[in-house]
Amino acid sequence: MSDHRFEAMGCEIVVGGGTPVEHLAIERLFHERDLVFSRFIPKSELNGVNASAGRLVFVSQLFADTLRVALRAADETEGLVEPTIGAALEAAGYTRDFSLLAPDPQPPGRPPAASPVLVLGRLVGLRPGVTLDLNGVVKSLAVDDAVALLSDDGFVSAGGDLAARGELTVELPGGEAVSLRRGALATSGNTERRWLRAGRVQHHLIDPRTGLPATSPWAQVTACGANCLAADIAAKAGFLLGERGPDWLDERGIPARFLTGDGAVTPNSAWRRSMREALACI
Amino acid sequence: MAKAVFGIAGALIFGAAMVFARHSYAGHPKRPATALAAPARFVSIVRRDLLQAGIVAPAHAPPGAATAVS
Repeated sequence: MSDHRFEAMGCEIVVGGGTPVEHLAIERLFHERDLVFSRFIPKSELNGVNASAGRLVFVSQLFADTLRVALRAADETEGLVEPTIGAALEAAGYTRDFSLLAPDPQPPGRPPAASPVLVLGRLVGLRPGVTLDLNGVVKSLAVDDAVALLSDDGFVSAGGDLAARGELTVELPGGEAVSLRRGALATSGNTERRWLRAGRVQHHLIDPRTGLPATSPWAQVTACGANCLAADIAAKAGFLLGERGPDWLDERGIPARFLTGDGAVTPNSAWRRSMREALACI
Repeated sequence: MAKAVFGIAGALIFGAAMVFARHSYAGHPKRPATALAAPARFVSIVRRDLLQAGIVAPAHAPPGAATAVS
């Protein structure tokens, strides 16, 4: 299987399988989504909407649909995977593409609280001072849409998000490999996108309850969802919930694997069950 | 007199036929038209399904892909 690689959304995208035409279509899809949803492209639609906080604006259908998905994700995760954390990310110092971030002597700013968002068809309204960050769902949605462009078995991986058509053996962070029978895998954690501000470590997983980078006993959480969106939301929620993460995902039947900073692995019951049932089927 | 009787009878038959047609002909709406929409309960069930599980199994082949952390 030949891999096609390119950079988009601040990470390396890998496409396994597919034809050259499909590779081009997938590249175009990621670059188009970047142009719409990047906080670091000044003329992106997201920045236009954020600049219009305090009044109603018309947005593209793609933007409105994605925002609705992000609000549903917030609903289903009890407000943990929340789209109105843009200002909190900026307060933590995540103000430019991660590859360009340098240690900053300025102390973190005061984080704002999460805020309701008005969406009526293609009409969007934010309260003054509210800044959207849709990264919680944009990358995983792009991966799902990209894998749908493949005409045969293959996979699309973007940072910690991976979706596959057909069964695929995947190496997880930390070295363990699993067979992805159906759906997608996503890993969220604070070991990669982290930086220093006033000597304190900051990272991109904001806890909306505090508006600050989350404190979690886990370094990484890998979840397996029916699609990449589900896996990514589950992994983020599992990380942000801390000790409650494994049980919360078990209640929803989502297999997940929790890794601590010292490398100890805690699979939840759904992960163990998925592994056991797969063995029983052989 | 006969003309009047025929006239009234004709009007009554026409009216009865119209009412009958309205209630029996498939193309006539029998109640005010409403937009087609899925029942609210169905919509709420579908919405709840955003978090659906995939399936993982023990690896039985060398890795064909790797994931990072995001």
